[in-house]
Amino acid sequence: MTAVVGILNKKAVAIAADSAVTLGSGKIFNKANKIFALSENNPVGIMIHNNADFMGTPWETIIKIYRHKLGINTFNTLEDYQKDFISFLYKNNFFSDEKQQMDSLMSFCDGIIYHLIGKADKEVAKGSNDRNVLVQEELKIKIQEHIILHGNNKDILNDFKGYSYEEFDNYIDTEIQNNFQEITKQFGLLVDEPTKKLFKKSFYNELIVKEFYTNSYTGLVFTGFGENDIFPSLVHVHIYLGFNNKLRYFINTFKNSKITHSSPSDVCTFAQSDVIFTILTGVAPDLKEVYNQTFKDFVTEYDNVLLSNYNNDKGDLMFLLNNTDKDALTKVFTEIMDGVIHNKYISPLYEAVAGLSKEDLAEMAESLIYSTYLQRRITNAQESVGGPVDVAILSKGDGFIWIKRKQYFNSDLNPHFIKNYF
Amino acid sequence: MNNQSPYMIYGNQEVKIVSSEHPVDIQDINELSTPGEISKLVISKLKEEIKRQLNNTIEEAHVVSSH
Repeated sequence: MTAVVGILNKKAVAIAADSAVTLGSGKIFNKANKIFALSENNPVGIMIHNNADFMGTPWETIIKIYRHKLGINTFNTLEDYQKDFISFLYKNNFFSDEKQQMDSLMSFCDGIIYHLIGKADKEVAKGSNDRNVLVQEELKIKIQEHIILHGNNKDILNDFKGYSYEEFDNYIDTEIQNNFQEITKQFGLLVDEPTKKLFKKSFYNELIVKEFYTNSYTGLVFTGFGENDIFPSLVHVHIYLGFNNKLRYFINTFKNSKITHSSPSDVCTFAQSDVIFTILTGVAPDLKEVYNQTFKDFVTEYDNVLLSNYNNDKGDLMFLLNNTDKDALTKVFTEIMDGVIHNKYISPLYEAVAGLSKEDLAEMAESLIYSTYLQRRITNAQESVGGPVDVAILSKGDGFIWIKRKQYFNSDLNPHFIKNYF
Repeated sequence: MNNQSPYMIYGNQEVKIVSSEHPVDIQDINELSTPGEISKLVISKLKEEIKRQLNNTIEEAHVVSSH
């Protein structure tokens, strides 16, 4: 995993990332590069998180080929750089052959299969008679729920508008049989024809919509200034996989940022944001969930205790308690607490960030990543954020400036690298 | 960051620090506010909400009984 941050004000954007990469086996290396300059002529950077590869090709390689191809060309806005980068993926057939694309799609389907089998398995008691039959029945229910969940999502991804289930079914029909056979081999579950159909529908329904349930994507964070941009901005893209000239990706507008006169600063965190969120808002995100839920449970339970102790009372008290809207009370509580967090922590912080110098922005970005690393280091948590912190500052006048950057070689022995950096 | 992971993990929606205006007016609270002041504010807003709900309930009950 990763911790990546972008801190923006009118003068510049500071970006920082750790160096940890977690392999499928769970082993962690601390040598990954996650920040890259994207343009020779404009201060534009790109950061990556989650998957380090795009269907088997390292993002680092793709980004450097793009940078080379871009050369001295420029675009007016940051969004134009992002759009050009995405079209570059199409032009290069997603840097993969047909087999690799099919494998990636099958891996996507496998993710859903394993997820749903896991859910069905949990529902059936261990040691039940005919357990496999019961899990098979439960599996059908879980698949149907999955179909409905994504079927209700009307946010269809651009490349899949007009893409029919029949087209998808034709494309995967032969290959997907191996995945179904694997289910029987691994779990002893029989996958009959109706279940196969349900599975395929669930793959399709999830494939075509924008969703946040999975983390099998790469997060690409574009940030900096296009030719005509006076203030910096940031664009966050989720990219999953590509096949048959279709790319499963979307712009995560929720995370985008644009500095303006009315919005002069922003702190954007990606991937493992829990520690940074805690520092900046004064409360851990999971703890926030806990106190909101606890408040609701408490008011409900308190009423129940009163009602059970005054069960002879058929009058006003019981009537009023029964008619109290606990959801509305919880909403008021949550909104006030969010307001307190905003006024006491976020607002003063954003005011301060708006006035920070470039050096202070860089120090803040580095410190937030380092704090996450330290929290993982001194607790029992997996050290999935770690290694050296790379830091860069992008500003209109000075361009892309590295503040800290690890090298795997001695720069004195490789002067040609510095000379030919772009 | 992961290499190409074979399986997906569900339920990892990211959080965002939102700097925009909050829906409830709490002008009295700032970075120097004490826990006591915050608590007082929370209680008063909850009291307002309960009062509002009770008034609605009593009003509705009155309407029903008068019919």
